[in-house]
Formats: sequence, C-alpha cells, structure tokens
Amino acid sequence: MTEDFYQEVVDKFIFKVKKDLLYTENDVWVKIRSDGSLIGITDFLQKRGGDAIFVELPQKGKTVRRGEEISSLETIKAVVSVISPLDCVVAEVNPTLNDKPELINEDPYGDGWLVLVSPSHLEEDRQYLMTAEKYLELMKSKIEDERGKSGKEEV
Amino acid sequence: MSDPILIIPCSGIGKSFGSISREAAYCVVDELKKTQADTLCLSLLVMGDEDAIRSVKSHRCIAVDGCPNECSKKNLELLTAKLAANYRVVDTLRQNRNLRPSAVTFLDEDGRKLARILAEKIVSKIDELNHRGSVS
Amino acid sequence: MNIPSKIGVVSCSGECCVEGTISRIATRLILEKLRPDNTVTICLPLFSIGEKGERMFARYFPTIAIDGCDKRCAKNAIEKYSGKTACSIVVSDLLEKWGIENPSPRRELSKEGVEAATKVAEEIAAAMDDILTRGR
Repeated sequence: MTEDFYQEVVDKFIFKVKKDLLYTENDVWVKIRSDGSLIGITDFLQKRGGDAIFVELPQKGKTVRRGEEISSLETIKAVVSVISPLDCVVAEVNPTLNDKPELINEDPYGDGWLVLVSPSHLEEDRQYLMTAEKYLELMKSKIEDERGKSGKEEV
Repeated sequence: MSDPILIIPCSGIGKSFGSISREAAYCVVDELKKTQADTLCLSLLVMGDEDAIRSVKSHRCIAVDGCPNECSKKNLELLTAKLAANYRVVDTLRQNRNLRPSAVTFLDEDGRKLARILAEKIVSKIDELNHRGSVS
Repeated sequence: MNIPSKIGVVSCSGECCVEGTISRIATRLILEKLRPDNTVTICLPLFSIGEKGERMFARYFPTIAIDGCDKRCAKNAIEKYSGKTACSIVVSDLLEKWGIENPSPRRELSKEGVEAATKVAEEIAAAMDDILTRGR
C-alpha cells in the first residue's frame, strides 16, 4: 500500500486502486469535480485488457446513460467496453489518447483519463458508485475468479 | 562499405509483440540485409558484456521494441549507444489494423506478416542511413 | 520449510544463436503446457529496466534461469537485481550432453530444434518439481 493507492500483489502483477476515487462494478473510476466528472478505467481492467492499440472516444455533446457504453478500447486481445457510471453529457475527451493510447496502460488513473462529463443525475447515480475500499475487495474476488478459470499467470 | 548496423530487438517473452520484434530483426539480418545488418543479444548488453557494449557504441544501432515499455531503446540509451532509430511493433500494428497476431511462442500468419512489414521499414531506414553516410 | 506454489522462469532469449531461441521456446512450453499452474515467466528486458513487479517476484519467489550459453545472462541478471536463483540451466551444456549439434536455424526452429526445446522444457519441469516438493 502506498499513500495514494491500495495495492494487491498477485504473482508479478501489482494491481493498484487509487484511494480518492469512486468506482463501479464494471471497473470504471469516477472523480467528481466542480467542472464535471472525470472517467477512466481501473488498473485491473487495463491489465486484463492488454496494450491499448486504439481508443474510441465519444463526441462532445453526446448524451450517455448510466450502464451504456461510453468508450471502447481495442487491444491486441479484445475490444474492451467502457461502461458509463453516470447519466451524463460528454464535455471533453482526452485529446492525447489518439496518438498515445498507451497512456491508458501506463497511467490509468492520471494521464490515461478518458472523458470529462457533465452528470445529469449525480445524486441518484452516486448510489451505484462504490468506495476504493469496496472496489479493492471486488477486484480481489475478480482476480481469484480469473485465476480459478485459467490457472495461469496471465490475468 | 559501411559497418553493419546493429538491430537489437527486445524479444520480450510475455506478449506476441516481443516475438514479432525478434522475427523482424531476424528477417532483416538473416534475409533482407545480410551484409549490412547484424544483431546482438540485448541480454548481453544488460549484463554489461564489454564486447557487446563496445559494439553498440561503435556501430549505429536500431532498437526494435514490442510495446511502449521500450526496453531495447531504454537499455541502449543507458549505455549511450549510437542509437540511429527505434521502432515499436505496436505502432506498426496500429498502421495495419486488419492484422490480429495472437500467438506468442510460435508466430501465427498475422504475426509473420506484421514482422515482415516492420522489417521492410527497418530496411528502408538502413538504406537511408547508409546513403546519408556515403553522401556526407 | 517454505514450499512455494509459484516459480519464476527467466529465459535469456538471446538472439545471436539457436540456443537462445531454444531457451525462449522451452520457457514458453513450460508456461503453456508443462507447468502452467506453477509458472510465472519473468521478462528479462522488462526486468532489466527495473519493472517493479518482475523484480519483486524474483526477490520473493524461487527462480530458474534458462540461458542459451555459458555467459549466463539470465542467471546473472536475476542475481544482480533480485537474489540467488534456485536453479540455472544452460541450453548449450544440455545439447552437448545429449549429443545434439546444430539442431536448427536460430530464426525458426526446425523439427529437431522443437524436439530439443521440448527436452529442455522437460528438464525445467523436473527442476521445478524438485523445488516445489523440497522447498527453496
């Protein structure tokens, strides 16, 4: 554990959960700010997904409902769907990801942010968000499930 | 004739990118530019082998990395090698979206195709470097 | 006695000679087929640039180094940055012991090369079983 992160070490993989964020069961993080809510994917999801090759980002102004796909990443393994944690309107997208999608892998909680949104029903949608501590436990159980299926080192 | 250019792949073992970097290097040094290029074990450099380090400081080098970790490039930079260019398999994959290499141990057809495409880019760079060298 | 459940296997993957390719393929065969539940491959290039997860694993779990030749780059790298290896295997020594000469081109293993890699993988598996039953 460090000051800013919870950590779970599994074999050679160090999974980080940033402390000051909220999370969903779909492995998406949310940072609620005065200018909107910043959204990205967790370290667990980026490790499981693999190296991001392309990122599909929504258009500014697009309305997205909680539970719908807001973005997707194409990796060498799969297409990873990013599920919106909130009812919202897209305000900004991360402009650097077109040229440097690897930021999602290198810094998923920082420079690898995906979208900034204006929430439509924040107070209502907050009940579906969980704390970092709760997400840490959920992540651990997902990791156990994955290892149980494959038995191998790959997440 | 110019001294051979050293092609140093990362050969990362965890992903197909590493295998493709290795195959691209072999394609260049064993097939397309046999007399103008050579390779050298990255692990020898990492371990401080004096002959290997002398080689990368005295010959132009091209780093061929699999992924954005850029292990070959970083190691060559740390050694102040004569790094003339660097390539990443992941960038070539982005330019060839139709290819979906998945195998790591033994490359599949898409992996070979991608390695070939990357090898041809490296060959163009070698020609450019040698032409520049002969003109200056 | 501390009985581990996982062992780190690190291959030199040296590009210069076929023994490096055999070390790489043998390591992948261990991961994919022979001991998938107990194997964690350590990527030597990542390890060498200081990747925390790779170095930490090699510090706290037993490791087996698979080197192509007696320069033993993988073994030396692990011991330099993390700690003593539990076992060291040198492919050229094994090939000599088995009377196998020039098994394959280095770029793509022939049938004989794959057979040699499979035999090396079986040696690694035996070493792993020994560690797993006896402890570090």
